Amino acid sequence: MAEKTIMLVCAAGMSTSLLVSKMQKSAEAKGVDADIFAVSASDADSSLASKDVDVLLLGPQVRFMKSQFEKKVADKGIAVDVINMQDYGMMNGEKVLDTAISLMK
Amino acid sequence: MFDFLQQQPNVQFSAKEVAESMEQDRANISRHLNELAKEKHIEKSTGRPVLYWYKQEKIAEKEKESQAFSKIIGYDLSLKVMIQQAKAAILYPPRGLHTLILGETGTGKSLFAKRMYEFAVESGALPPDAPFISFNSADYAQNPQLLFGHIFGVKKGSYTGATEDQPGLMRKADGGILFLDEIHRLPPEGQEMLFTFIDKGVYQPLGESDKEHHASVQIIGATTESSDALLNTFNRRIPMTITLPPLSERTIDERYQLVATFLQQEAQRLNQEIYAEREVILAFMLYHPEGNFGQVERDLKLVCAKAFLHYRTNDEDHLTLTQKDLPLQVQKGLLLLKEAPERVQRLVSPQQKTFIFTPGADGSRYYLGSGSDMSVYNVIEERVDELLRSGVSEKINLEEFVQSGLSHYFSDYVEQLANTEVHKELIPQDILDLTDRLYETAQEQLNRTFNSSTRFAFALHLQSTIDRLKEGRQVVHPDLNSVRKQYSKEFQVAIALSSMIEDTYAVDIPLDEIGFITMFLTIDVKQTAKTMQEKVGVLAMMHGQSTATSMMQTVKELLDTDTGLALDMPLTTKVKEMYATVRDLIKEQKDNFPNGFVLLTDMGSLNAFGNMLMEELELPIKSLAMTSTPVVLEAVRLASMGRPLEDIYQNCQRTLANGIQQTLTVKKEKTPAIVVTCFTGEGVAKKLEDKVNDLIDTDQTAVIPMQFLQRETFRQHIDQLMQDYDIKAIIGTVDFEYSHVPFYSAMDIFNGSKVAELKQKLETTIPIAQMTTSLEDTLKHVGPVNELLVTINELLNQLISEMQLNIDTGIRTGVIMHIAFLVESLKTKGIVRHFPNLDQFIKHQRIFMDMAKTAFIPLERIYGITFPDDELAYIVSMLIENE
Repeated sequence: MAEKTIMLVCAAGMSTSLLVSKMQKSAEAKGVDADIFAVSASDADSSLASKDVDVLLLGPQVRFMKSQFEKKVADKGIAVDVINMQDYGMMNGEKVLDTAISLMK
Repeated sequence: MFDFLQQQPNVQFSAKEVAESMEQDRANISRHLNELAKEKHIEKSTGRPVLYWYKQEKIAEKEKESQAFSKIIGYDLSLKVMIQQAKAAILYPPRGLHTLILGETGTGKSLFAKRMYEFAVESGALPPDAPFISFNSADYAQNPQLLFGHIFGVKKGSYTGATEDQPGLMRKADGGILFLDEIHRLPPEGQEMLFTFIDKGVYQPLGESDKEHHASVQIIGATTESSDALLNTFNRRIPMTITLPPLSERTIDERYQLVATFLQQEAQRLNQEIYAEREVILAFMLYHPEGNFGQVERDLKLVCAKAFLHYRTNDEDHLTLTQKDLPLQVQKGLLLLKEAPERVQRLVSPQQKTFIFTPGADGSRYYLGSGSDMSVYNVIEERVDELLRSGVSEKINLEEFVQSGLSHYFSDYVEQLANTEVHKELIPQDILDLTDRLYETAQEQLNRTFNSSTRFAFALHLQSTIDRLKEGRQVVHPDLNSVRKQYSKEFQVAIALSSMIEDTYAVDIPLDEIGFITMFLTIDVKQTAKTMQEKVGVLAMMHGQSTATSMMQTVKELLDTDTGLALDMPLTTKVKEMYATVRDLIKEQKDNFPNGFVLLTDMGSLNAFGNMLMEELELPIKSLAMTSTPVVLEAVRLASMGRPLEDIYQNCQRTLANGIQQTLTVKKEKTPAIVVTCFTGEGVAKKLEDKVNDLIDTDQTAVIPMQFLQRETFRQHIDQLMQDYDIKAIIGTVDFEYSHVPFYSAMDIFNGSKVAELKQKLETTIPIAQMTTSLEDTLKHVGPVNELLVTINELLNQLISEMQLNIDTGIRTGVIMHIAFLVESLKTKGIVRHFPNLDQFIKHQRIFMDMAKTAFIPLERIYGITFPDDELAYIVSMLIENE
């Protein structure tokens, strides 16, 4: 079990999967032990149930779900945020990872 | 009986004939007729049977058109007979007939009497220096003795204070005409004496008992009374009765002449051109005023005064009369247009949209009696001058000030002030302290409590007042006197408070400011809890058997909602009936929709309903003409979401505009901007400007400080700004909803709670080139990535604007990425993903789904793919949920 679990959510889980792979590369380079994965919005619930998620990051296009998720995970101490649009557009895995790590602290 | 004969001049009747037509006893009639003949009121034949007739003076008919009478509107139309009667009364030898003028209020009785006098002089019946004395019997009605003395004179010693003989009006009018208006108000003793004079030509002043005074005076009486008892008294003694017809019996030509003449005269007096919309002229010609011509003139005056005010405060080069400035009652005239005679169209040409009245033009042959009072213009002029002299910047507000009566304006202002959430730190502690002290004093003296929101609003006001005074600027209180009179107690307290303020800040508080303070003391600020759910009704009204209902039905089905009302107007329905139906419907629904109504109409008279309904029902109402299904759809959609009235209205207008401009593609690059605002445009706004400048990239976004005094004016300013700027947010002290522009209170920004959100609104789009770089390695099956992204971007923008959504650039970026990946997947393996409850979703969002499907057709063609409904549903939901 990885030290940190980061879950990315977007409408279909397609665009985020690219970001996931970039984040994973960045984590490797930094020596961070993290389980990073992407799911579609409809699969998010089951993933939350099965995994011990530390951070939940939303794609900008599903920003509207933020409050929904915040409510769902309120008692689990999971940090929820929307991925910065710039980072998302540039698929900047390193920065998104940094954000995720800072959210856990 | 006299009337009977008089109405048919020069026709001979026997006593039997008269008795039969009047259904009275012949013997009685015969006796009266003989009496009248003896008194020379009627003529009597010498043969058998004896015939009686009223003799119409031939002279009058031969007389060429009289100058005096031809100045009266309708002299050759509805008043033709009356003028003949009047001429006869004047020319009747030797000294004319005493005359009674009957007619409702405002039918022009006084004017008619004056014209009779002028005619007497003109025709030589009276010498040019003959007196014309006019008196209103109601003036002294409370004091019969004084009234009697005033008319007939007072003999020395008749009562304490009567130290010498005083001549009465009867003496002054000797050799001329005495006009007694409201003659029915004469006390019994006055009537008695008047009848004595009419019968015998003699009278006795008050206190005189032995000597009789002689005078040669023609009496013209006027009364609005129509009770038989009273009229009989007068009719028996006064031979000539002239009845002036009420407005309803006058011709449409005359009504046109009245309006045209009045405006022409007004243009003359003001020495300024007057532009009148066609609807204005029509409304004035057709409405039903209770006060006849007099009221038409008063209403015209009022509308001219409004236009004058606008003209003076806006520095225009002519006065403009518009339909929306008309009083409700006058506007209702437009409802009668359909039933109006065809002649109207010839008098007021449908081709001519504006009617111009130019001073000096030789257009007015008529002369109106009243309306010469210029005081209303003078008052306006004075206030405006005062304002301009003091050089205040609140110039634009004067118009609203004067127009809507101050209290209206004021309650609006205070409500806004009270609802603000400005951080208290923005108000210096000394002002807050002073406010507390002032209110302690005020509560003590007025024995009343004021709630904290009033206090807070006052503190804000006080701060700006002091700033203003220190800078030597003044605001004008346009209604100072009536405030002083109406709230004398509060005014006294306000003076006391002012001296406390003066002591604290070493400033002089002018009376106008005291007037404002007074109003703060009088107004009870309601505890207006801001309701999240605005309840606005949508009502579609269209011509045709079922156009409106079927359109509304379609929309309701599309949106799966119960919101929305519809009224059909079959072509057989009269406009007036329709108006009543609409009014009743809205009245009935008023409680359900306290925040007003949006009226969606198609054309014609229905378009004019909005303003009238708003005034009559005192409910905010916005109306939109040229409605089509997309507009109804938009209105109902927003209303069911609980959006405020103005918002719905703006959005529907955009929908309308989109429909028209779609092909024009006016794409002007607009600078993003943030508007910061407060009441003065200097205090809080300045602080906000500094703060926002620190937060944002000022190279990209402009920060515009603005004054907010009156909601509607502010809205107009934003409208203007919108043409050049893409306004991203409004930050200020007063909550302000404007279309889709988000509002942040000053407190939100100063305490940082909404700073992140604000920044998000300002995010600029990432250049497609950068996105291309990040995706190039991943998307392998779509050809040049740049091309794909550019296409998606274009189509998406188009779709969003069609859907009328406000989507942050951040979300757009996300959606572009999403679609790019989607195209890639569809191109390669094809994906099968199910949108939960797809059928349901498609049913509810049919319109948006259609739009999306259409929007992405080019993508499907270029890349040879087909978007499954599930995917479209994902995209649509992404867009609408994010709005």
